[in-house]
Order: sequence, then C-alpha cells, then structure tokens
Amino acid sequence: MNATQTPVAATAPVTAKKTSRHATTSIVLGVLGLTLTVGITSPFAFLQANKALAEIDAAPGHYEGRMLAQVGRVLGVVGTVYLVVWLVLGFTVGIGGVDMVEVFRTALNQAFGPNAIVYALAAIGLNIHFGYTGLLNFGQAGFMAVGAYGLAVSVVTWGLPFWLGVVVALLAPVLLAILLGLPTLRLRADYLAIATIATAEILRLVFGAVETKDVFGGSNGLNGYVGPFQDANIFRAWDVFTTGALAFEEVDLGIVSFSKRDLWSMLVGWIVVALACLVVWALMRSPWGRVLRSIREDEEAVRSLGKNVFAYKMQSLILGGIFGGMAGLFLALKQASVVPSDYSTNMTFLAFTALLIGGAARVAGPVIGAMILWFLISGLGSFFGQATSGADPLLPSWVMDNTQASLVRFIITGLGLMLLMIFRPQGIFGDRREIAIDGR
Amino acid sequence: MDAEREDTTTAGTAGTGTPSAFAARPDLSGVPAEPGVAKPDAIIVGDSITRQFGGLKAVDVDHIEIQRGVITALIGPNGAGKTTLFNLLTGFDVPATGAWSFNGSSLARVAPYKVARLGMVRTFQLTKVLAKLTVIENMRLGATGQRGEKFWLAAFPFLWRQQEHENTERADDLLTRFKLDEKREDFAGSLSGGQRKLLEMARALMVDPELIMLDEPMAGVNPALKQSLLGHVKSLRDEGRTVLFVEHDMDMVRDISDWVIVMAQGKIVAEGTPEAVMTNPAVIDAYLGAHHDTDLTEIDEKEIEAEAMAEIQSEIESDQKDHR
Repeated sequence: MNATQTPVAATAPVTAKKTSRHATTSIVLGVLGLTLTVGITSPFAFLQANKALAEIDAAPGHYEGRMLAQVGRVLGVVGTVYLVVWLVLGFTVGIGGVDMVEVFRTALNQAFGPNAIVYALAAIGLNIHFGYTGLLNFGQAGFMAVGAYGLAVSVVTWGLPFWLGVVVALLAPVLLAILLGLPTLRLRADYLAIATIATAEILRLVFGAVETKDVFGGSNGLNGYVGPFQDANIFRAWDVFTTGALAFEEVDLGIVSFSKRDLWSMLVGWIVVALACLVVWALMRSPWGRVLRSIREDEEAVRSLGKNVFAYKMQSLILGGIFGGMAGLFLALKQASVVPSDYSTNMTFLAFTALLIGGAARVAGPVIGAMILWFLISGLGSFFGQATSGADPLLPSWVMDNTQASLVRFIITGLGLMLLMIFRPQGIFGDRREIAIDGR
Repeated sequence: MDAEREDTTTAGTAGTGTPSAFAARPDLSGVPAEPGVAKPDAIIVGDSITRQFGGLKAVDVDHIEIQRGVITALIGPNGAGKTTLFNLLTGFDVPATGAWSFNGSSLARVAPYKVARLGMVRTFQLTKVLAKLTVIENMRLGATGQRGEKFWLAAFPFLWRQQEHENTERADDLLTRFKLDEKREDFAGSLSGGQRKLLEMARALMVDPELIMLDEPMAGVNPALKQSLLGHVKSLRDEGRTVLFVEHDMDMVRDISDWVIVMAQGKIVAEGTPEAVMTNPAVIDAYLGAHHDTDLTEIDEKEIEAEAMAEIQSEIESDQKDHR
C-alpha cells in the first residue's frame, strides 16, 4: 500500500499518486450490488468506500480517487436500502410469488440436515490433510467412496452382518491411504494431488463399470443394507411406543422440519461430527499436532530435527482418510443407497469449499463451513427456483428460466467464495495474522 | 581499504582468543596442514565420497576427518561442493559412492531424521523457520524423544504434559541465551533474517547435538548481530560441542575457527589452522585471490552507493525543475 519513498521524497513528492484500492473495490461492489447480487454486496461497498475516504484523507498526497469513493458510497447506501426493502417485503408479504420465509426454511433445513453432515465430515478429513499437514488431497471423494462401498459390498454382496460392514467401511480408507501414501508421500506435494484425484476417478469408474456389476452393482449402485441402521431409529421406536403404529411423517420444529428418518440420521451424524471435532482438537493441541503443522511449514526443517516426516504424513493421510470414509459411510446410511456418480470430483471440491469458508487449520472451521455452504446453496436454489416459476415469475424468462435456476445457485456461491477470499482469506475462523505472514 | 582493516581489528579483539586459550580444547597445532589429514580424535570420518550431477562431479572427496570438540570451517568458492557435502553427510542427499561414519557408526543410506537423532544436526543456508508457528513452538519442536509426538499418546495430555513442561523450560533458557525471549509468542515468520538465523541455531540446540553443522550462519546478518552470533558459535564449542560450518565471511573464519578445510571443484584442496591456510599459496590462488586482504564486497558497495547517490541527486534536481 505504501508508495515507495526515497528519503528525499518526504520534502519533494516525486512519487505518482495512485488510486486507493478500496475506492476501486467499493465501486465494483456497489455496481454488483445494484445488479447481479441484488444488494448483498452493497453494505460491503459502503464499508470499503469509508475505508477509502479515510485512507485518502489521511494521506492526500499519495492517493486519488476521492470522487470514485464517494460514488461507491452512494451506490452502497442505495443498494443497502434496496436490500433491506426487499428482505422486509420478502419476509412479510412476499415479492412476485417468492416466499422468503420458505426460502429461509429450506436454507436452515439444509444447514442442519444430513447433507451438511456429509460435507462436514469430509471437510474435517481434508482439514487434517490440507489445513494442518499441507497435504493436497484432491481425492477425498475416493476415500468417501471406499467407505460407502465398504459397507454396501460387505452387507449386500458378501452377506456379512451390518456391524462388520461398518468395520470394513472404516478399514477401507486406511488401506487406500497406505496404498496412495507409500509411493507419493516421499515426493513433492503435487504428486499426491495428482495421484489422489486420479485414484478417486479410477475408483468411481470401477465401481460403476458393467464388468464389476456383480460386486458393485454397476451404475445403479447398491441398496438394501441399511435395515439395522433404520431399525435402531429411536424416533421411530418412540412412535411405535406412543401410537402403536409406524409412521414416517415430518416432524415440524417451527422453522425447520425433518422426516423422522432424517432426524435419526442427524442425531447420529452430529454426534459423529462432534466426536470427530473432539479428536481433532485433542490431537492438534498435542506435540503430535505441532509436528504436523511444522511439516506444513517446512518438512526439510522438521526432518533436520530428527522427526520421521514420512511416518507423520502417513498418519495424517490415514486419519483424514478415515474421516473421509466416515463421510461416505454416513452418506450411504442416510440415503440408503450407494451410487457411483455421487462420488465425483465435485464432491471433493465442494468439501474444499466448505473448509475454506470455515477456515483451514481450525477445529470448527470445516463444520461451520459445511453448514454455511449448504445454507447458501439451498437458500439460493429455493429463491431462484421460486423466482423463476409460476405464471408471472419475478425474474423474467429472458433473464433466467427455471432450469437455469439450479445452476445459478452454484455461480452465486462461487462468487461468494471469491469475495470471501478477497476480504477474509483466512475463512470465518482463521487467524488474520497467519495469512499476513508470507511463506518464508 | 581503511574500513576493512578496522573491521578485521575489531573482529580480532572481540574474539575470545587463539585456540590455545582453552586448555580443554584439543590442540591441532601439531597436525600437518595437508588435505585429508588424520585427526587425533575424529568425530566424522569419510572416504571416497562422490556425488555427480549429470556430467559435473559436485563432490569428490578422498578422505575427510572432522576433529571432535573444535570449530571446523569449510570454505571454498561458489560451486565448490560445500553445501552438497553437508547434504551428503546429513543424509539429505545420497552420494554415488563413499562411506562415512559418525562416532564410528556408518551413516551410508541412513535417513536424515535418524542422522539428526544420532546427534548430528544441521541448519540451512536459506533459513527454514516454521513461519506460522510461534517462536516457542519452533523451539519445542526441536526436543527429541517427545512422548506427545506419538500418535497413540498424543490425545492424552497427562502422559506428556510433564515432559512438555521440561522442554519448554529448556527452550526458554535457550531463547534467553540467544536474546529471543521477547519474541517468544511472535510468529517465527515475523522475525528478521538475523533473528531467524538465531532461532534456527537455538532450535538445533534443542536436539542437544554432539555435532552442529551450520550452513552459512552469517549470510544476510547485519554486523551488529554478527558479533553476537560469533559469540554464540564459540559458546557452542566451549560447552563441548563440535561445530562444522560453511562460510564465505573470511573474518569469521579467521576469528573463530580452529581448523579450516578448503574445497574447490568438489575436492579438498587444503587443510590447516586458519593461519596456515590463509598463507597457503594454493588457497590464495584457488579461492582468496591475490588481494584477499581487501574486502572486495565493501569496495563494490561503496562505489555502487556513490553512483546511486549521484543518480538520485541528479534525478531529484531534474524533477524539481519539472515541478517549477
């Protein structure tokens, strides 16, 4: 930010004035707020404009762009008012058939629902790999797939009991981690990234292949293994106990409502997530966790101090892989079927998104990140879905039609991630000071 | 010219003395000054160590011995193979041929972390501090045999808390000694270049090594800090450790080393006490140059500085004209 100064420059300004970066940012955010982002970026435009004005007034010799900042501020104010107005209207009377309460309900449902749990577990694993140890695992979907198929194949194909299937599901990622780690962990980080992304794809294709249909069920996948999990549903048991009959209706808890099956999945899932966080917290505050974080910083230095870096990286890969496997296992349990197309690279990158939103190398980061990610994706999906449906939609069909609405939510989520990386690169929970330090 | 002489004299007087000032230290004055000479009590013995990079033989050492309990300097022009030899000895690189031992045990194909555990710890030419860990965490990492670093014990603090406490006390003592105690809670990445050198040295000491190998400890360190670094290196020897260091700073080599090994083009071309080596015609030709008493870098710096100042001055003048 500081202009380069020679000692003489203080008396005779020889450096060129430059436009305040905040002013430019505020203009961009202000324009976006009045167009694409329907006001969501406008408050940030206002804040950035204020920063720019303070900066310019503090050192008028260095910066220009006061005009720009003032325009940005006005745009920000107008956009914010617009945002508040449509939010208030949306939650009370609804605009153009969009029921904001319904949007909020859907978003909250998903933020606490089983999907968020799947991604929270996957991101916890990635946090151990990437956040703490610096291992670039781009194949978390592969770990999830072997977890899910570990259970399904054991029970459906081999006819093993359910609990043994769970054991297989937890051992399969360990095996995968060892197979992946042995050849690649001695090499540079990029080799692991390439090996993992390739392995994940190979696994998905093998699981979905016609040739292996007898074992993995082809592209339709496997189902019919989830019985014991559903039988253990305490909400169902409660139902049978009180009314004497089985019922699978929704349980409405005011703003959120879930089916009893989902409620049971969520109870188990959030307990697993809590335990996973506890394990990560306990391990990362220990000297063991310190070695992992040191490896992330500089593995040669760690080696020179007498630590077996390879062994630690392997332990990290296995532990994170187990959490990935748990995510897959949970996905298999909550949707009662295992389908190969679920375990595409998209899944890995969405889990990375969750991790980055929450903040890497923080215990709660991946969990909060997964909740925010699902809140955004489903809330935006519901909003644009409603805004483009009906006889007289809020968004005219030349802007967006109903089939495009489900894609736009990902575009907006991506935009949100970009803004996060610009204004809070450390994620929600990260430590700003850590980001400020540059590599070495 | 004058400035350089001043430097030498201050460095000389600041030094704690000639090797004979310490009774406990092994006397190397009787050892003949010839390449690959046998030492009375060698901690490292290496034979026919070679390392090839393509067509280039980066290291080709017939015989090398490092005396225990003294400071040995490894000098030589750029590309002489000093750092490569360092890497080979510590297991960070694998030689094409050769056998070498530390305290009598062979180190061929021994992983670097095992070499470190044996008591032979190195630092790096480009300092490797763990930027996003605090200074004290950097130090704690150095301690060996930590129970809490084992996966199965890590989750149970009561098993390692006592040991951690002891390590922290030792780390704090070292930080005080290296005058880094005020930086204890700062991220290592926020330290200056010289402080990083200090931290790396202090961290290496947490391993409690018998032999400490410093790769250019003075590179990029300001003159004020240099003196204290010199003192620290000497204190390592005085507490009974063996020091081997690579350095280009001839003042430092002259001042603190007890023995100097000169490498050129991968081979050891000369050995001896600093006095013997500095007057050795082969060394002067190969490395020091005929004008080795003049500090070329300083002359260059002065000239460049003067030129730069003149340039700035003229620029300002023309600029002021423009403004008018």
